[in-house]
Parts: sequence; C-alpha cells; structure tokens
Amino acid sequence: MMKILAFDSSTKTATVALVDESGIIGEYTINFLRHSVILMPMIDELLKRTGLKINDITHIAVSEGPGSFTGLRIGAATAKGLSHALNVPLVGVSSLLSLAYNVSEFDGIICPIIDALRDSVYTSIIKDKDFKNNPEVFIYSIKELADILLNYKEKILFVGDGALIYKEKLYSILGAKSCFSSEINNISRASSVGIIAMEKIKNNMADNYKDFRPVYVKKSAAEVRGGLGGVN
Amino acid sequence: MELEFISDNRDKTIELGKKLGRLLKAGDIILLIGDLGSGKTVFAKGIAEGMGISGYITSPTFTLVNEHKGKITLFHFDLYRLLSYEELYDIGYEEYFYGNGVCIIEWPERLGPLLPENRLEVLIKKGIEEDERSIYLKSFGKRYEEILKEML
Repeated sequence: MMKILAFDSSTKTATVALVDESGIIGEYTINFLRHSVILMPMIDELLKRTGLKINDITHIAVSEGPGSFTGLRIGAATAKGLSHALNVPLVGVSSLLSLAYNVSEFDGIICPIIDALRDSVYTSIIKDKDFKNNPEVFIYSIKELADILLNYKEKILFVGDGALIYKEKLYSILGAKSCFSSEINNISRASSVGIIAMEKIKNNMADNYKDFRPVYVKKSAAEVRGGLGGVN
Repeated sequence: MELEFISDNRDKTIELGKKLGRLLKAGDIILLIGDLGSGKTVFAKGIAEGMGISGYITSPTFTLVNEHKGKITLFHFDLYRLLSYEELYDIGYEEYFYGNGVCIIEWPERLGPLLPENRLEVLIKKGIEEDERSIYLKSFGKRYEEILKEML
C-alpha cells in the first residue's frame, strides 16, 4: 500500500498532504510566506493528526518548480533529507502541472501561471490533459503569453498566483474566451502534487534523492544601457 | 538628477545615510560605490539607522548578503568577492532585488548585466583631509528622483 507524503513550497503557499490509492488522507495549507520555519512542523502536525508514523511513508513527492528560488531550495532540501533518511523514492512534480490539476475537469486549455517577478511569468499551455509528463515551461511577459493564446480557438482557464495578479490584463487582450479559477484553486495544493506523483510512481517515473534537481528557469540578463553612471 | 554633499567626519556621513534611510520604501535599491575604506559601510550603517534598524552593521564580505529585520527588511550586499555576476543566480538574487525589502549593494561594479535599471547610486570619494568625503547621489528612474528631491 502506497502512502505518499507530498509538499509544495514553490510559491507563497506552503502546503503538505498525505495521499494513498483511495485518495487524500489529509491536507494542510498555509498561504503565507514563512516556509523555512513552518514546512517541517506542518508535516509533523499532519502525521500526528492522521495517526500516521513517518515510517509508514512509502514515497516523498515534492514540487520541483518553477517558482520562488528560495521556496524551491527549501522544498528540495526537505524532500532530499526525508527521502534519504527514510530510504524511500523521491518524486518531483511540476508546480505548473499540479496547479493545472486543481482544475483538471475544465474542458479547454488550462494555462497555469506563476509570477516570476519583473512583469514576467512561468507558464505552460496544457491541451491534452496529460498529467504524467511534465509540460514544457515557458517564461513570458503577460503580453507575449496573451498574444500566443490569441491563436487558440478554445476557452482558456488561467490558474495560479499569476492568474490573480494579471487577470485584468489577460481579460483585456483575450476577452470572453479567458476564464479565471477561484481563490480555492489558484493556490498550490499538495494533494494535487501527491495525486500526480502516484500516477508517476505507477508508471515507474519515481526519482531518488541523489538525482532529483529543482527546476530553476533562468531569465536571460538584459544589459542596462550605459552601465553604472556614478563611476567616473 | 544628481546631488553632491560634503562630509568632514564619520558622524556627518552617518547622518546623511540616516536621512536617506528614513525615505526608503520596500523595493528600493541603493548602490554604494567607492574605494576600500571610503566609508561605504559607514554610510550603510546610517541608512539602516534611518530605517529604524539598530543592530550591528558589518560588511557582508564573506556571506555576500546580510539580512536585517525591521519594519522593512534590509538586505545588505557586498559583492567584492564575487568572481562573476552569474554567481548571483545561485543565491536567487531576483527575490532580493525585486522583492519586498530594501537592498543596499556595495561593489555594484560586479553586477554586470544584472544592474537594475531603476536605482540610486551613491558614490563616495575621499577628500584632501583624512575624514573628508564627497558624496554624490545620482538617481536612475522616477522613484529615485523623488527621493533626491526629499534630500534637498
């Protein structure tokens, strides 16, 4: 019997869940940025309240990114430490794919958006409801993303913190074919990470603590013209 | 916009830093430019005091960045030991520069292409007398021009 401990600290949300073949055993989510302090106590609390012991865990699942650099480091360090100590496999799940899974019933294109600071976003365009393989990750400005989506006929559902921040701008370009998910689905959910991880495990796609790497998407540096102006 | 101040002792340099520190808001970026021993860290100490952060401000030469908690968090960078700007990717520089704190950056020459477009540059030059300093404040972007107007 599988017992997956899943967590996601890739955005402002810290979220922890326990899932098995019958579904979600428990989930604990705090939408407030203090991951380095709260993630481990949240895991501990969830285990206690569900009456499970840490040794009952058969797999660790973690959001691999893209997302907040610091958040990804915290998630990866926690996942690697637990996976190593418990001697169980580690499964990395795309943060964008797990956001899309929050709204997987949607009949159209799902477009998860995570804020990447400085008017850019991490995003994927999910058409085929493949929740096993990680989708291609893009880094776009909102304008670039909206212009690309103009080429699609289907309705598009936006999900994630970026969907909230850029709602008006997206709507102004895409109009009635843009849909926006609710507050409940706009945050990362560890239960989604866990359910996707289960599919991956069934398909022999689990990783291990040595090989797992967070997905940092590096923006190219645009040179500021003139450089420093104070140095004479 | 560019302002010039003359300071003839350490306390005056700290006072000027304090005056600037009181005007800072989350997201502001201050670059400190000057030779070793010119008083960049002294000026940084003034900024911290102005922001209501007392504590011990030392140059984070070996740690790259120090974090000082206050009403607004202050991130104090010293990039002297940086070999390449690409090392900044390894510490997730964007979340500091474009996050919810104030950044003070010593040795911003090392930033290369990661130099923020909007910023306040502070250039400190030694004068003829031992403790004399010329301090130049130069704004890049509207936000920093507003700060300089307040400094007049």
